[in-house]
Amino acid sequence: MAGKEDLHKPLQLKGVKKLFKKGLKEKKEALKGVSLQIERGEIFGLLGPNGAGKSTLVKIALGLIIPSEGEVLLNGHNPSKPQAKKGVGYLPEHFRPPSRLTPETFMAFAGEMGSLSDNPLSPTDALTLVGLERSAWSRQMRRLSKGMLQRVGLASVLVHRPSFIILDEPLSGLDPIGRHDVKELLMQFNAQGGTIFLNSHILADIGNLCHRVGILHQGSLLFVGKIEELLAKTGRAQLEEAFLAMVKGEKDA
Amino acid sequence: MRKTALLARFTLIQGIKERFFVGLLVLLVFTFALSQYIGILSLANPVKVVTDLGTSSITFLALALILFFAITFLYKEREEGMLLLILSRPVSRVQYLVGRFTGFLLLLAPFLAVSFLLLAGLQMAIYSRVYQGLPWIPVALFLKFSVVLAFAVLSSVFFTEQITSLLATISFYVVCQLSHQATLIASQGSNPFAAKITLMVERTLPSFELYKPFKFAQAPLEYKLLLLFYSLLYIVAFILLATALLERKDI
Ligand SMILES: Nc1ncnc2c1ncn2[C@@H]1O[C@H](COP(=O)(O)OP(=O)(O)O)[C@@H](O)[C@H]1O
Ligand SMILES: [Mg+2]
Repeated sequence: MAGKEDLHKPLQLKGVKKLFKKGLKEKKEALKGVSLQIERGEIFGLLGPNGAGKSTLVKIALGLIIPSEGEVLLNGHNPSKPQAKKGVGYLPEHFRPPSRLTPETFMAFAGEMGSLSDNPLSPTDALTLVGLERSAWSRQMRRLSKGMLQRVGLASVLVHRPSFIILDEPLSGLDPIGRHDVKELLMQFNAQGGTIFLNSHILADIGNLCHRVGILHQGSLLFVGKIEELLAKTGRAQLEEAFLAMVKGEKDA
Repeated sequence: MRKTALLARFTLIQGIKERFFVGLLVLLVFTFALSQYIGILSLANPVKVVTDLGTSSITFLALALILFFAITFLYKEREEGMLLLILSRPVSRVQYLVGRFTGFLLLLAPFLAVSFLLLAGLQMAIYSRVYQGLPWIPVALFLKFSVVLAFAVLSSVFFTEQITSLLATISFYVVCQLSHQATLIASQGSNPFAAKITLMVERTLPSFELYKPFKFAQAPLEYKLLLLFYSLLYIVAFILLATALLERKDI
């Protein structure tokens, strides 16, 4: 995995703005100048209520949405360039793999789709890694539970042995056991040197997982730093209270 | 190229797993049986009548296949995050569109082949002969529907709502199907403006008059090759336009 990309930060955003056109005249400023850097080897959590602009930010990072203003570097490259995506995995929000395929068939597809790494995992190894029970491997995915589908989604990201994964709300819609398992998986990935950027609107998930967090509210990044720093800054004992204080403070201002 | 082929292959695999293809074939057998019955009633040229009716049923069902499968497929892929997942990989938007489009063609071709083999089999069984131009009819339909499919891809990229894209593709089909007759009628009317408009429509959009299966079957090879070229021009134009739109789109 040692290569040129290690010299660059996994992700750098500078003054990123995004203006969506809604209808003829109406416009929506989803991001109002966001600057952010992700360090190699960390787990970074972007927190924010629904509609804050988290998904927009992530899609801009991957070149799926073109920012109205600002600079984006993914692995040191413009994200629209193929080499920027080397070693990067992404799981979209509400991802559902094709309902008529089985996890095995889908993994064969996902594996070939982005064969960037020199030694990708085999589809079955990836399914084992995410802990999908073997009896589900050959069942059509419309018959699988949401937790199982999320595992398949993660497997399709991990199959390339990425060094940096971007996950949009990876824990939403999972039951407590599912959350626990996915978190465990993410920590394991991180322990082996992987970098993680994840979005969430559920604070409880983030607390014991992320090294650093960012708080995004109505398109502005209100805070970036360690959770302890956030608690100290707001003078609260709980992440949830600190988050509310941050977001409410913005509203009053 | 490899990515495009992969996308095409999996479009085909996903298509085959959809249950409604079986439904379509059952429906086809049913309509064939009905057309055989009508064919027996017609005294003049039963084989031609049966071919005609069979071709109409296949045309209708192939159109249904394109609309319901291709358009639904593209919207579902957008909603369920597959499009995002694919494009986050080193896959360009042209590769994505060409791959899916080719996959739809791969699905259409065997559907037409099986339908016409069934039709030929029935004719052999009942009349001990097959309408002589029969092998060319699926080719004409394939060319025509490739153009419709390319348009369906374009309209699916353009419109946010699936239903709008469906309606647009149906309208496109109807306009292309009727443009020649409209020109004829308008040229005989007293309104020169209307005549100009209809002629312009016929010349700008693909005219499906040129794809009439029986005419195509009897036309010389040069005509067939020319029509292939004509179809390719529209397909390339529609897919390029769709790519240009998708490049600009926030997905
Ligand atoms: N393609 C789009 N067109 C118009 N508006 C959009 C689009 N995508 C997102 N938005 C708007 O931008 C804002 C941020 O959305 P999003 O990034 O999805 O927020 P989050 O992921 O934090 O819930 C919302 O108000 C949403 O309506
Ligand atoms: Mg979101």
